[in-house]
Amino acid sequence: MTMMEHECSSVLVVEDNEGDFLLVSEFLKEAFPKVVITHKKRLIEAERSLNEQTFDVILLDLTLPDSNGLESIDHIAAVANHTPVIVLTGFSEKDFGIRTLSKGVSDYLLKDELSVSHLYKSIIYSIERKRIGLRLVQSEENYKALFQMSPLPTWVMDLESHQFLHVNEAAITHYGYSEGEFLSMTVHGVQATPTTSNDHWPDSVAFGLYDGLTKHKTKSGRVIQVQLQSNLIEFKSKRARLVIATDITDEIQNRQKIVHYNQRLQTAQEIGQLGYWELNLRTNEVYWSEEAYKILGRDARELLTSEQFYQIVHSEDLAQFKQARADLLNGNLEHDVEYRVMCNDGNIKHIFQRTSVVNDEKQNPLRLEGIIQDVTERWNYIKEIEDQNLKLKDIAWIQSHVVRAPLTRLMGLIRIINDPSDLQLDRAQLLDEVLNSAYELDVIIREIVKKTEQIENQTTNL
Amino acid sequence: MSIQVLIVDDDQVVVFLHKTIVSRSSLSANPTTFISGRKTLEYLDTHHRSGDKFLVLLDINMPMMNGWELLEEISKKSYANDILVAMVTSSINKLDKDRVKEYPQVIEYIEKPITLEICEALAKHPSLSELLGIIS
Repeated sequence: MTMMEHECSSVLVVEDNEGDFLLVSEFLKEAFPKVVITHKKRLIEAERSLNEQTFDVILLDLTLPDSNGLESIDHIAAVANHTPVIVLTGFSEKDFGIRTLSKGVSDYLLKDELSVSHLYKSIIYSIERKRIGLRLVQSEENYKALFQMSPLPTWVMDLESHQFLHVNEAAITHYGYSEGEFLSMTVHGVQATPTTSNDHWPDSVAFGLYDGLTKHKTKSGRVIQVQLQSNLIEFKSKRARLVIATDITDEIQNRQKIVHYNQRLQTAQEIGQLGYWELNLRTNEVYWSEEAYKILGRDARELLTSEQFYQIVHSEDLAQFKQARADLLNGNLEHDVEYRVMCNDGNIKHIFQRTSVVNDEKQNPLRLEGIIQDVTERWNYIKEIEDQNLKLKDIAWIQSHVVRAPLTRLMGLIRIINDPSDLQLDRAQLLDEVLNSAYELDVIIREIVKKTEQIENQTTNL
Repeated sequence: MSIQVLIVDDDQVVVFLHKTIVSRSSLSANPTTFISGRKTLEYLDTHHRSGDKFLVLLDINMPMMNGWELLEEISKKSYANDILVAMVTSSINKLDKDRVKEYPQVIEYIEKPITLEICEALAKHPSLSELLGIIS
Protein backbone atom coordinates (compact mmCIF):
# COMPACT_ATOMS: atom_id res chain seq x y z
CA MET A 1 0.00 0.00 0.00
CA THR A 2 1.23 3.50 -0.81
CA MET A 3 0.83 6.64 1.22
CA MET A 4 -1.52 8.08 -1.36
CA GLU A 5 -4.07 5.37 -0.70
CA HIS A 6 -3.88 6.26 2.95
CA GLU A 7 -4.41 9.93 2.36
CA CYS A 8 -6.98 11.50 4.54
CA SER A 9 -8.37 14.64 2.90
CA SER A 10 -11.27 15.75 5.09
CA VAL A 11 -11.67 15.63 8.85
CA LEU A 12 -14.51 16.75 11.09
CA VAL A 13 -13.18 17.78 14.49
CA VAL A 14 -15.85 18.11 17.21
CA GLU A 15 -14.10 19.98 20.04
CA ASP A 16 -15.25 22.89 22.22
CA ASN A 17 -11.82 23.63 23.71
CA GLU A 18 -9.87 26.07 21.46
CA GLY A 19 -6.48 25.05 22.82
CA ASP A 20 -7.14 21.36 22.27
CA PHE A 21 -8.46 22.07 18.75
CA LEU A 22 -5.33 24.07 17.93
CA LEU A 23 -3.13 21.19 19.02
CA VAL A 24 -5.12 18.59 17.11
CA SER A 25 -5.32 20.66 13.96
CA GLU A 26 -1.54 21.25 14.00
CA PHE A 27 -0.92 17.54 14.27
CA LEU A 28 -3.44 16.84 11.49
CA LYS A 29 -1.81 19.31 9.09
CA GLU A 30 1.55 17.81 9.80
CA ALA A 31 0.33 14.26 9.25
CA PHE A 32 -1.82 15.07 6.21
CA PRO A 33 -0.53 18.29 4.54
CA LYS A 34 -3.52 18.62 2.21
CA VAL A 35 -6.19 17.93 4.80
CA VAL A 36 -9.34 20.10 5.03
CA ILE A 37 -10.43 20.49 8.62
CA THR A 38 -14.01 21.27 9.58
CA HIS A 39 -14.31 22.44 13.19
CA LYS A 40 -17.56 22.14 15.21
CA LYS A 41 -17.93 23.01 18.90
CA ARG A 42 -21.32 21.54 19.55
CA LEU A 43 -22.87 18.17 18.93
CA ILE A 44 -25.86 19.68 17.15
CA GLU A 45 -23.60 21.55 14.73
CA ALA A 46 -21.61 18.40 14.10
CA GLU A 47 -24.78 16.45 13.34
CA ARG A 48 -25.95 19.09 10.93
CA SER A 49 -22.59 19.10 9.18
CA LEU A 50 -22.65 15.29 8.86
CA ASN A 51 -26.06 15.42 7.26
CA GLU A 52 -24.72 17.79 4.61
CA GLN A 53 -21.41 16.23 3.72
CA THR A 54 -19.19 13.24 4.29
CA PHE A 55 -15.74 13.11 5.84
CA ASP A 56 -12.93 10.62 5.82
CA VAL A 57 -12.81 10.56 9.63
CA ILE A 58 -14.50 12.19 12.65
CA LEU A 59 -12.51 13.22 15.75
CA LEU A 60 -14.92 13.50 18.66
CA ASP A 61 -14.27 15.10 22.07
CA LEU A 62 -16.43 13.51 24.72
CA THR A 63 -17.08 16.64 26.85
CA LEU A 64 -19.21 18.99 24.79
CA PRO A 65 -21.46 21.82 25.97
CA ASP A 66 -24.63 20.15 24.66
CA SER A 67 -23.77 16.48 25.15
CA ASN A 68 -21.55 14.17 27.05
CA GLY A 69 -19.82 10.80 26.92
CA LEU A 70 -21.76 7.85 25.52
CA GLU A 71 -24.65 10.08 24.51
CA SER A 72 -22.40 12.00 22.10
CA ILE A 73 -21.11 8.75 20.66
CA ASP A 74 -24.64 7.41 20.05
CA HIS A 75 -25.68 10.58 18.29
CA ILE A 76 -22.63 10.85 16.08
CA ALA A 77 -22.63 7.13 15.23
CA ALA A 78 -26.25 7.44 14.12
CA VAL A 79 -25.36 10.00 11.44
CA ALA A 80 -21.74 9.04 10.75
CA ASN A 81 -22.87 6.38 8.29
CA HIS A 82 -19.67 4.54 7.32
CA THR A 83 -17.26 7.25 8.50
CA PRO A 84 -14.93 6.03 11.24
CA VAL A 85 -15.21 7.87 14.59
CA ILE A 86 -12.13 8.40 16.78
CA VAL A 87 -12.80 9.51 20.35
CA LEU A 88 -10.53 12.11 21.99
CA THR A 89 -10.62 12.47 25.75
CA GLY A 90 -8.75 14.23 28.48
CA PHE A 91 -8.75 11.45 30.99
CA SER A 92 -7.80 7.86 30.94
CA GLU A 93 -10.59 5.50 31.73
CA LYS A 94 -9.96 2.05 30.38
CA ASP A 95 -13.38 0.49 30.96
CA PHE A 96 -15.15 3.43 29.45
CA GLY A 97 -12.85 3.37 26.43
CA ILE A 98 -13.56 -0.28 25.80
CA ARG A 99 -17.31 0.33 26.15
CA THR A 100 -17.12 3.10 23.52
CA LEU A 101 -15.38 0.71 21.08
CA SER A 102 -18.37 -1.63 21.07
CA LYS A 103 -20.60 1.32 20.22
CA GLY A 104 -18.97 1.68 16.80
CA VAL A 105 -16.03 3.87 17.71
CA SER A 106 -12.87 3.05 15.82
CA ASP A 107 -10.27 4.21 18.31
CA TYR A 108 -9.88 5.91 21.64
CA LEU A 109 -7.09 8.49 22.07
CA LEU A 110 -5.86 10.34 25.20
CA LYS A 111 -5.20 14.02 24.50
CA ASP A 112 -2.13 14.05 26.80
CA GLU A 113 -0.49 11.26 24.87
CA LEU A 114 -1.33 12.65 21.43
CA SER A 115 1.48 12.92 18.83
CA VAL A 116 1.61 13.30 15.05
CA SER A 117 2.55 9.68 14.43
CA HIS A 118 0.06 8.47 16.95
CA LEU A 119 -2.76 10.40 15.33
CA TYR A 120 -1.62 9.47 11.82
CA LYS A 121 -1.58 5.77 12.62
CA SER A 122 -4.95 5.87 14.32
CA ILE A 123 -6.65 7.68 11.45
CA ILE A 124 -5.14 5.49 8.73
CA TYR A 125 -5.97 2.27 10.56
CA SER A 126 -9.50 3.45 11.29
CA ILE A 127 -10.18 4.28 7.65
CA GLU A 128 -8.71 0.99 6.46
CA ARG A 129 -10.57 -1.07 9.06
CA LYS A 130 -13.82 0.54 8.05
CA ARG A 131 -13.12 -0.13 4.40
CA ILE A 132 -12.40 -3.82 5.07
CA GLY A 133 -15.49 -4.05 7.21
CA LEU A 134 -17.58 -2.62 4.44
CA ARG A 135 -16.10 -5.06 1.96
CA LEU A 136 -16.99 -7.96 4.26
CA VAL A 137 -20.56 -6.77 4.53
CA GLN A 138 -20.69 -6.48 0.76
CA SER A 139 -19.28 -9.92 0.12
CA GLU A 140 -21.62 -11.44 2.68
CA GLU A 141 -24.51 -9.90 0.79
CA ASN A 142 -23.13 -11.29 -2.47
CA TYR A 143 -22.96 -14.74 -0.98
CA LYS A 144 -26.50 -14.47 0.31
CA ALA A 145 -27.64 -13.55 -3.18
CA LEU A 146 -25.70 -16.47 -4.69
CA PHE A 147 -27.33 -18.82 -2.23
CA GLN A 148 -30.81 -17.51 -2.88
CA MET A 149 -30.51 -17.22 -6.64
CA SER A 150 -28.79 -20.55 -7.27
CA PRO A 151 -30.92 -22.73 -9.57
CA LEU A 152 -29.80 -25.79 -7.62
CA PRO A 153 -31.60 -26.68 -4.36
CA THR A 154 -29.24 -25.55 -1.62
CA TRP A 155 -29.54 -25.54 2.15
CA VAL A 156 -27.66 -25.11 5.37
CA MET A 157 -28.11 -27.83 7.98
CA ASP A 158 -27.06 -28.03 11.58
CA LEU A 159 -24.06 -30.27 11.93
CA GLU A 160 -25.32 -31.90 15.16
CA SER A 161 -29.12 -32.01 14.89
CA HIS A 162 -29.30 -32.15 11.07
CA GLN A 163 -32.03 -29.53 11.30
CA PHE A 164 -32.55 -27.31 8.21
CA LEU A 165 -31.26 -23.86 9.14
CA HIS A 166 -31.63 -22.10 5.83
CA VAL A 167 -33.02 -23.10 2.41
CA ASN A 168 -33.00 -21.35 -0.93
CA GLU A 169 -35.81 -20.69 -3.38
CA ALA A 170 -34.80 -23.58 -5.67
CA ALA A 171 -35.06 -26.04 -2.77
CA ILE A 172 -38.55 -24.78 -1.94
CA THR A 173 -39.66 -25.07 -5.58
CA HIS A 174 -38.05 -28.44 -6.19
CA TYR A 175 -39.06 -30.19 -2.97
CA GLY A 176 -42.44 -28.51 -2.55
CA TYR A 177 -41.99 -27.66 1.14
CA SER A 178 -42.41 -24.06 2.29
CA GLU A 179 -39.52 -22.37 4.04
CA GLY A 180 -41.32 -22.78 7.34
CA GLU A 181 -41.87 -26.49 6.76
CA PHE A 182 -38.23 -26.95 5.87
CA LEU A 183 -36.99 -25.15 8.95
CA SER A 184 -39.10 -27.39 11.20
CA MET A 185 -37.61 -30.55 9.62
CA THR A 186 -34.32 -32.42 9.73
CA VAL A 187 -32.69 -33.65 6.50
CA HIS A 188 -33.93 -37.16 7.31
CA GLY A 189 -37.40 -35.90 6.52
CA VAL A 190 -36.57 -35.66 2.82
CA GLN A 191 -34.84 -39.04 2.62
CA ALA A 192 -36.78 -41.52 0.47
CA THR A 193 -35.71 -44.38 2.70
CA PRO A 194 -35.51 -43.91 6.50
CA THR A 195 -32.03 -43.05 7.66
CA THR A 196 -30.39 -42.42 10.95
CA SER A 197 -27.99 -39.62 11.58
CA ASN A 198 -24.98 -41.77 10.76
CA ASP A 199 -26.18 -43.21 7.49
CA HIS A 200 -25.54 -40.38 5.17
CA TRP A 201 -23.44 -37.94 6.99
CA PRO A 202 -20.05 -39.27 7.81
CA ASP A 203 -18.58 -37.82 10.91
CA SER A 204 -19.17 -34.14 10.61
CA VAL A 205 -15.86 -32.78 11.74
CA ALA A 206 -13.56 -35.28 10.13
CA PHE A 207 -14.88 -34.62 6.63
CA GLY A 208 -14.92 -31.05 5.45
CA LEU A 209 -16.33 -32.03 2.07
CA TYR A 210 -18.92 -34.66 1.57
CA ASP A 211 -20.17 -35.82 -1.81
CA GLY A 212 -22.64 -38.58 -2.32
CA LEU A 213 -25.61 -40.08 -4.12
CA THR A 214 -28.91 -40.59 -2.38
CA LYS A 215 -32.65 -40.74 -2.96
CA HIS A 216 -34.90 -37.96 -1.73
CA LYS A 217 -38.66 -37.66 -1.56
CA THR A 218 -40.48 -34.44 -2.39
CA LYS A 219 -43.54 -33.28 -0.47
CA SER A 220 -45.77 -34.79 -3.18
CA GLY A 221 -44.10 -38.17 -2.66
CA ARG A 222 -42.04 -38.20 -5.85
CA VAL A 223 -38.74 -39.99 -5.36
CA ILE A 224 -35.74 -38.27 -6.97
CA GLN A 225 -32.12 -39.30 -7.29
CA VAL A 226 -29.83 -36.59 -6.05
CA GLN A 227 -26.14 -35.93 -6.12
CA LEU A 228 -25.08 -34.11 -2.95
CA GLN A 229 -22.09 -31.85 -2.57
CA SER A 230 -21.40 -30.25 0.73
CA ASN A 231 -18.93 -28.33 2.77
CA LEU A 232 -18.61 -27.25 6.38
CA ILE A 233 -19.42 -23.63 7.16
CA GLU A 234 -20.17 -21.50 10.16
CA PHE A 235 -23.74 -20.28 10.11
CA LYS A 236 -24.96 -17.79 12.72
CA SER A 237 -22.15 -18.91 15.03
CA LYS A 238 -23.16 -22.54 14.68
CA ARG A 239 -21.20 -25.30 13.03
CA ALA A 240 -23.21 -26.22 9.98
CA ARG A 241 -23.06 -27.87 6.56
CA LEU A 242 -23.86 -26.19 3.28
CA VAL A 243 -25.42 -28.74 0.93
CA ILE A 244 -26.09 -28.44 -2.81
CA ALA A 245 -28.44 -31.08 -4.20
CA THR A 246 -28.46 -31.83 -7.96
CA ASP A 247 -31.45 -33.81 -9.21
CA ILE A 248 -30.00 -36.44 -11.56
CA THR A 249 -33.15 -38.56 -11.95
CA ASP A 250 -33.55 -37.70 -15.65
CA GLU A 251 -29.88 -38.14 -16.32
CA ILE A 252 -29.92 -41.64 -14.80
CA GLN A 253 -33.04 -42.57 -16.74
CA ASN A 254 -31.50 -41.35 -19.99
CA ARG A 255 -28.35 -43.30 -19.26
CA GLN A 256 -30.42 -46.43 -18.66
CA LYS A 257 -32.33 -45.82 -21.87
CA ILE A 258 -29.10 -45.59 -23.85
CA VAL A 259 -27.82 -48.81 -22.31
CA HIS A 260 -31.13 -50.44 -23.18
CA TYR A 261 -31.06 -49.20 -26.79
CA ASN A 262 -27.50 -50.41 -27.21
CA GLN A 263 -28.48 -53.85 -25.98
CA ARG A 264 -31.37 -54.01 -28.42
CA LEU A 265 -29.16 -52.84 -31.27
CA GLN A 266 -26.63 -55.52 -30.44
CA THR A 267 -29.33 -58.19 -30.34
CA ALA A 268 -30.64 -57.02 -33.70
CA GLN A 269 -27.12 -57.22 -35.14
CA GLU A 270 -26.69 -60.72 -33.77
CA ILE A 271 -29.98 -61.94 -35.19
CA GLY A 272 -29.40 -60.32 -38.57
CA GLN A 273 -25.72 -61.34 -38.52
CA LEU A 274 -25.01 -57.73 -39.37
CA GLY A 275 -21.85 -56.01 -38.25
CA TYR A 276 -21.55 -52.25 -37.98
CA TRP A 277 -18.33 -50.29 -38.48
CA GLU A 278 -17.08 -46.74 -38.68
CA LEU A 279 -13.87 -45.32 -40.10
CA ASN A 280 -12.71 -41.90 -39.00
CA LEU A 281 -11.04 -40.44 -42.09
CA ARG A 282 -9.01 -37.94 -40.08
CA THR A 283 -7.45 -40.36 -37.59
CA ASN A 284 -7.87 -43.51 -39.69
CA GLU A 285 -9.25 -45.24 -36.60
CA VAL A 286 -11.84 -47.94 -37.06
CA TYR A 287 -14.67 -48.90 -34.79
CA TRP A 288 -16.14 -52.39 -35.15
CA SER A 289 -19.26 -53.65 -33.42
CA GLU A 290 -19.15 -56.93 -31.49
CA GLU A 291 -20.95 -58.74 -34.28
CA ALA A 292 -18.53 -57.33 -36.88
CA TYR A 293 -15.62 -58.98 -35.08
CA LYS A 294 -17.51 -62.26 -35.02
CA ILE A 295 -18.27 -62.02 -38.75
CA LEU A 296 -14.65 -61.28 -39.61
CA GLY A 297 -13.45 -64.03 -37.28
CA ARG A 298 -10.98 -61.61 -35.75
CA ASP A 299 -9.87 -60.16 -32.48
CA ALA A 300 -10.66 -56.55 -31.68
CA ARG A 301 -7.02 -55.54 -31.30
CA GLU A 302 -6.01 -56.65 -34.79
CA LEU A 303 -8.22 -54.27 -36.75
CA LEU A 304 -7.59 -50.80 -35.49
CA THR A 305 -6.70 -49.15 -38.82
CA SER A 306 -7.61 -49.52 -42.49
CA GLU A 307 -4.14 -50.89 -43.23
CA GLN A 308 -4.60 -53.68 -40.73
CA PHE A 309 -7.95 -54.45 -42.28
CA TYR A 310 -6.50 -54.52 -45.83
CA GLN A 311 -4.19 -57.31 -44.69
CA ILE A 312 -7.06 -59.69 -44.08
CA VAL A 313 -8.89 -58.91 -47.33
CA HIS A 314 -8.25 -61.59 -49.99
CA SER A 315 -5.45 -60.32 -52.23
CA GLU A 316 -7.54 -60.88 -55.38
CA ASP A 317 -10.32 -58.66 -54.02
CA LEU A 318 -8.16 -55.89 -52.61
CA ALA A 319 -7.97 -53.77 -55.77
CA GLN A 320 -11.74 -53.84 -56.20
CA PHE A 321 -12.17 -53.03 -52.51
CA LYS A 322 -9.83 -50.03 -52.67
CA GLN A 323 -11.48 -48.82 -55.89
CA ALA A 324 -14.87 -48.89 -54.17
CA ARG A 325 -13.45 -46.78 -51.36
CA ALA A 326 -11.90 -44.29 -53.78
CA ASP A 327 -15.25 -43.95 -55.59
CA LEU A 328 -16.91 -43.20 -52.29
CA LEU A 329 -14.50 -40.41 -51.50
CA ASN A 330 -14.98 -38.99 -54.98
CA GLY A 331 -18.64 -38.25 -54.49
CA ASN A 332 -20.46 -41.58 -54.43
CA LEU A 333 -22.62 -41.50 -51.33
CA GLU A 334 -23.23 -45.21 -51.06
CA HIS A 335 -21.48 -48.28 -52.33
CA ASP A 336 -21.99 -52.03 -52.15
CA VAL A 337 -19.09 -54.39 -52.49
CA GLU A 338 -18.48 -58.10 -52.02
CA TYR A 339 -15.09 -59.43 -51.03
CA ARG A 340 -13.41 -62.28 -49.22
CA VAL A 341 -11.55 -62.14 -45.93
CA MET A 342 -9.06 -64.56 -44.44
CA CYS A 343 -10.12 -65.71 -40.99
CA ASN A 344 -7.73 -66.65 -38.23
CA ASP A 345 -8.76 -70.30 -38.51
CA GLY A 346 -7.69 -70.33 -42.19
CA ASN A 347 -11.22 -70.24 -43.56
CA ILE A 348 -12.27 -67.79 -46.23
CA LYS A 349 -15.46 -65.84 -45.68
CA HIS A 350 -17.49 -63.97 -48.24
CA ILE A 351 -18.55 -60.55 -47.00
CA PHE A 352 -21.18 -58.21 -48.34
CA GLN A 353 -20.51 -54.60 -47.40
CA ARG A 354 -22.63 -51.48 -47.79
CA THR A 355 -20.77 -48.27 -47.13
CA SER A 356 -21.89 -44.68 -46.94
CA VAL A 357 -20.04 -41.42 -46.46
CA VAL A 358 -20.76 -38.97 -43.67
CA ASN A 359 -19.74 -35.43 -44.54
CA ASP A 360 -19.00 -32.57 -42.20
CA GLU A 361 -20.84 -29.24 -42.43
CA LYS A 362 -18.48 -28.13 -45.24
CA GLN A 363 -19.37 -31.26 -47.24
CA ASN A 364 -15.93 -32.76 -46.75
CA PRO A 365 -15.87 -36.51 -46.04
CA LEU A 366 -15.62 -36.97 -42.28
CA ARG A 367 -16.07 -40.67 -41.87
CA LEU A 368 -17.24 -43.81 -43.57
CA GLU A 369 -19.79 -46.04 -41.96
CA GLY A 370 -21.33 -49.25 -43.06
CA ILE A 371 -22.60 -52.69 -42.41
CA ILE A 372 -21.04 -56.03 -43.19
CA GLN A 373 -22.83 -59.29 -43.62
CA ASP A 374 -21.47 -62.81 -43.79
CA VAL A 375 -22.73 -64.15 -47.15
CA THR A 376 -20.47 -67.21 -47.24
CA GLU A 377 -23.39 -69.60 -46.97
CA ARG A 378 -25.32 -67.89 -49.74
CA TRP A 379 -22.18 -67.71 -51.84
CA ASN A 380 -21.44 -71.42 -51.39
CA TYR A 381 -25.01 -72.20 -52.29
CA ILE A 382 -24.76 -70.17 -55.50
CA LYS A 383 -21.41 -71.78 -56.26
CA GLU A 384 -22.97 -75.21 -55.88
CA ILE A 385 -25.83 -74.29 -58.19
CA GLU A 386 -23.36 -72.94 -60.73
CA ASP A 387 -21.39 -76.18 -60.52
CA GLN A 388 -24.58 -78.08 -61.14
CA ASN A 389 -25.42 -75.91 -64.09
CA LEU A 390 -22.03 -76.74 -65.54
CA LYS A 391 -22.79 -80.44 -65.10
CA LEU A 392 -26.16 -79.99 -66.72
CA LYS A 393 -24.55 -78.19 -69.64
CA ASP A 394 -22.12 -81.03 -69.83
CA ILE A 395 -25.01 -83.48 -70.07
CA ALA A 396 -26.65 -81.39 -72.75
CA TRP A 397 -23.41 -81.34 -74.74
CA ILE A 398 -22.91 -85.09 -74.33
CA GLN A 399 -26.45 -85.63 -75.45
CA SER A 400 -25.88 -83.48 -78.45
CA HIS A 401 -22.59 -85.04 -79.56
CA VAL A 402 -22.24 -88.45 -78.03
CA VAL A 403 -25.84 -89.64 -78.14
CA ARG A 404 -26.43 -88.37 -81.63
CA ALA A 405 -23.15 -89.83 -82.92
CA PRO A 406 -24.33 -93.48 -83.05
CA LEU A 407 -27.83 -92.28 -83.86
CA THR A 408 -26.77 -90.34 -86.94
CA ARG A 409 -24.56 -93.26 -87.90
CA LEU A 410 -27.61 -95.56 -87.70
CA MET A 411 -29.61 -93.16 -89.83
CA GLY A 412 -26.84 -92.98 -92.44
CA LEU A 413 -26.31 -96.75 -92.49
CA ILE A 414 -29.96 -97.57 -92.93
CA ARG A 415 -30.27 -95.05 -95.73
CA ILE A 416 -27.46 -96.74 -97.67
CA ILE A 417 -28.71 -100.25 -96.94
CA ASN A 418 -32.10 -99.23 -98.25
CA ASP A 419 -30.68 -97.90 -101.50
CA PRO A 420 -31.52 -100.61 -104.06
CA SER A 421 -29.35 -99.03 -106.77
CA ASP A 422 -26.10 -99.91 -105.02
CA LEU A 423 -25.35 -103.51 -105.86
CA GLN A 424 -21.76 -103.61 -104.64
CA LEU A 425 -22.59 -103.09 -100.97
CA ASP A 426 -21.84 -105.77 -98.39
CA ARG A 427 -25.21 -105.46 -96.62
CA ALA A 428 -24.40 -108.09 -93.97
CA GLN A 429 -21.39 -106.09 -92.76
CA LEU A 430 -23.45 -102.89 -92.72
CA LEU A 431 -26.11 -104.61 -90.61
CA ASP A 432 -23.38 -105.58 -88.11
CA GLU A 433 -22.52 -101.88 -87.90
CA VAL A 434 -26.17 -101.08 -87.31
CA LEU A 435 -26.19 -103.48 -84.32
CA ASN A 436 -22.90 -102.04 -82.97
CA SER A 437 -24.30 -98.53 -83.16
CA ALA A 438 -27.45 -99.62 -81.32
CA TYR A 439 -25.35 -101.14 -78.47
CA GLU A 440 -23.19 -98.03 -78.33
CA LEU A 441 -26.32 -95.92 -78.02
CA ASP A 442 -27.55 -98.07 -75.15
CA VAL A 443 -24.28 -97.65 -73.19
CA ILE A 444 -24.42 -93.88 -73.62
CA ILE A 445 -28.03 -93.60 -72.47
CA ARG A 446 -27.22 -95.61 -69.34
CA GLU A 447 -24.28 -93.27 -68.64
CA ILE A 448 -26.51 -90.20 -68.89
CA VAL A 449 -29.13 -91.66 -66.55
CA LYS A 450 -26.36 -92.31 -63.99
CA LYS A 451 -25.05 -88.71 -64.16
CA THR A 452 -28.53 -87.24 -63.82
CA GLU A 453 -29.15 -89.37 -60.72
CA GLN A 454 -25.94 -88.01 -59.16
CA ILE A 455 -27.15 -84.45 -59.57
CA GLU A 456 -30.55 -85.29 -58.15
CA ASN A 457 -28.86 -86.73 -55.05
CA GLN A 458 -26.75 -83.59 -54.60
CA THR A 459 -29.78 -81.37 -54.93
CA THR A 460 -31.60 -83.17 -52.15
CA ASN A 461 -28.53 -82.77 -49.94
CA LEU A 462 -28.52 -78.98 -50.30
CA MET B 1 -9.27 -74.02 -110.86
CA SER B 2 -10.22 -77.13 -108.97
CA ILE B 3 -11.19 -78.04 -105.47
CA GLN B 4 -10.25 -81.05 -103.42
CA VAL B 5 -12.73 -82.45 -100.88
CA LEU B 6 -11.45 -83.78 -97.53
CA ILE B 7 -13.63 -85.81 -95.15
CA VAL B 8 -12.49 -85.67 -91.49
CA ASP B 9 -14.14 -87.88 -88.85
CA ASP B 10 -12.72 -90.15 -86.12
CA ASP B 11 -15.54 -92.68 -86.70
CA GLN B 12 -14.52 -95.18 -89.44
CA VAL B 13 -18.11 -96.09 -90.20
CA VAL B 14 -19.02 -92.43 -90.63
CA VAL B 15 -16.01 -91.88 -92.89
CA PHE B 16 -17.15 -94.80 -95.01
CA LEU B 17 -20.75 -93.47 -95.15
CA HIS B 18 -19.68 -89.93 -96.01
CA LYS B 19 -17.20 -91.06 -98.62
CA THR B 20 -19.90 -93.21 -100.27
CA ILE B 21 -22.39 -90.37 -100.40
CA VAL B 22 -19.99 -87.57 -101.38
CA SER B 23 -18.57 -89.64 -104.22
CA ARG B 24 -22.06 -90.03 -105.65
CA SER B 25 -22.61 -86.24 -105.48
CA SER B 26 -21.27 -83.46 -107.68
CA LEU B 27 -18.88 -82.36 -104.87
CA SER B 28 -16.15 -84.85 -105.64
CA ALA B 29 -15.84 -88.25 -107.29
CA ASN B 30 -12.88 -89.14 -105.11
CA PRO B 31 -12.77 -87.43 -101.72
CA THR B 32 -9.77 -87.89 -99.43
CA THR B 33 -10.54 -89.13 -95.89
CA PHE B 34 -8.83 -88.61 -92.52
CA ILE B 35 -9.62 -90.02 -89.05
CA SER B 36 -7.92 -87.21 -87.04
CA GLY B 37 -7.33 -83.45 -87.11
CA ARG B 38 -3.57 -83.95 -86.79
CA LYS B 39 -3.40 -86.11 -89.93
CA THR B 40 -5.50 -83.57 -91.85
CA LEU B 41 -3.17 -80.72 -90.89
CA GLU B 42 -0.09 -82.73 -91.91
CA TYR B 43 -1.71 -83.45 -95.29
CA LEU B 44 -2.57 -79.80 -95.90
CA ASP B 45 0.93 -78.67 -94.91
CA THR B 46 2.60 -81.06 -97.35
CA HIS B 47 0.11 -81.09 -100.25
CA HIS B 48 -0.96 -77.50 -100.47
CA ARG B 49 0.22 -75.77 -103.63
CA SER B 50 -0.38 -72.20 -104.60
CA GLY B 51 -3.83 -71.88 -106.20
CA ASP B 52 -5.15 -75.09 -104.62
CA LYS B 53 -8.52 -74.97 -102.90
CA PHE B 54 -9.79 -77.44 -100.31
CA LEU B 55 -13.29 -78.12 -99.00
CA VAL B 56 -13.09 -79.82 -95.57
CA LEU B 57 -16.13 -81.68 -94.26
CA LEU B 58 -15.14 -81.46 -90.62
CA ASP B 59 -16.48 -83.37 -87.61
CA ILE B 60 -16.45 -81.40 -84.31
CA ASN B 61 -16.24 -84.07 -81.63
CA MET B 62 -12.95 -85.90 -82.10
CA PRO B 63 -10.28 -87.04 -79.59
CA MET B 64 -6.82 -85.36 -79.38
CA MET B 65 -7.65 -82.49 -81.73
CA ASN B 66 -11.28 -81.66 -82.19
CA GLY B 67 -12.85 -79.80 -85.09
CA TRP B 68 -12.54 -76.40 -83.45
CA GLU B 69 -8.87 -76.90 -82.62
CA LEU B 70 -8.14 -77.92 -86.19
CA LEU B 71 -9.92 -74.75 -87.38
CA GLU B 72 -7.71 -72.68 -85.05
CA GLU B 73 -4.59 -74.27 -86.49
CA ILE B 74 -5.74 -73.72 -90.07
CA SER B 75 -6.48 -70.03 -89.32
CA LYS B 76 -2.77 -69.52 -88.51
CA LYS B 77 -1.58 -70.99 -91.81
CA SER B 78 -0.52 -68.98 -94.86
CA TYR B 79 -3.04 -70.99 -96.92
CA ALA B 80 -5.92 -70.24 -94.51
CA ASN B 81 -7.82 -68.40 -97.24
CA ASP B 82 -7.65 -71.41 -99.57
CA ILE B 83 -9.58 -73.59 -97.12
CA LEU B 84 -13.37 -73.78 -97.04
CA VAL B 85 -14.97 -75.70 -94.22
CA ALA B 86 -18.36 -77.30 -93.72
CA MET B 87 -18.84 -78.38 -90.10
CA VAL B 88 -20.45 -81.79 -90.14
CA THR B 89 -21.62 -82.85 -86.71
CA SER B 90 -24.13 -84.88 -84.78
CA SER B 91 -24.47 -81.88 -82.46
CA ILE B 92 -27.75 -80.00 -82.43
CA ASN B 93 -26.38 -77.82 -79.60
CA LYS B 94 -26.92 -74.11 -80.16
CA LEU B 95 -23.52 -73.21 -78.67
CA ASP B 96 -21.76 -75.15 -81.44
CA LYS B 97 -23.93 -73.58 -84.11
CA ASP B 98 -23.19 -70.05 -82.81
CA ARG B 99 -19.47 -70.66 -82.66
CA VAL B 100 -19.34 -71.25 -86.41
CA LYS B 101 -19.65 -67.48 -86.95
CA GLU B 102 -16.21 -66.91 -85.40
CA TYR B 103 -14.44 -68.59 -88.30
CA PRO B 104 -14.56 -67.00 -91.80
CA GLN B 105 -13.53 -70.31 -93.38
CA VAL B 106 -16.74 -72.02 -92.33
CA ILE B 107 -19.36 -71.79 -95.06
CA GLU B 108 -21.90 -74.28 -93.74
CA TYR B 109 -23.06 -76.12 -90.64
CA ILE B 110 -24.39 -79.57 -91.46
CA GLU B 111 -26.17 -81.93 -89.09
CA LYS B 112 -25.38 -85.62 -89.53
CA PRO B 113 -26.20 -87.80 -91.28
CA ILE B 114 -25.04 -86.39 -94.59
CA THR B 115 -27.40 -87.11 -97.44
CA LEU B 116 -27.08 -86.75 -101.17
CA GLU B 117 -29.48 -83.79 -101.03
CA ILE B 118 -27.25 -82.00 -98.52
CA CYS B 119 -24.19 -82.54 -100.70
CA GLU B 120 -25.94 -81.14 -103.74
CA ALA B 121 -27.17 -78.12 -101.82
CA LEU B 122 -23.63 -77.52 -100.57
CA ALA B 123 -22.26 -77.75 -104.10
CA LYS B 124 -24.47 -74.82 -105.04
CA HIS B 125 -23.01 -72.66 -102.27
CA PRO B 126 -21.81 -69.37 -103.87
CA SER B 127 -18.20 -69.85 -102.79
CA LEU B 128 -18.17 -73.36 -104.25
CA SER B 129 -20.31 -73.37 -107.36
CA GLU B 130 -17.79 -71.54 -109.49
CA LEU B 131 -14.92 -73.76 -108.38
CA LEU B 132 -16.97 -76.84 -109.13
CA GLY B 133 -18.11 -75.53 -112.49
CA ILE B 134 -21.75 -75.70 -111.56
CA ILE B 135 -24.14 -73.14 -113.00
CA SER B 136 -26.77 -72.49 -110.42
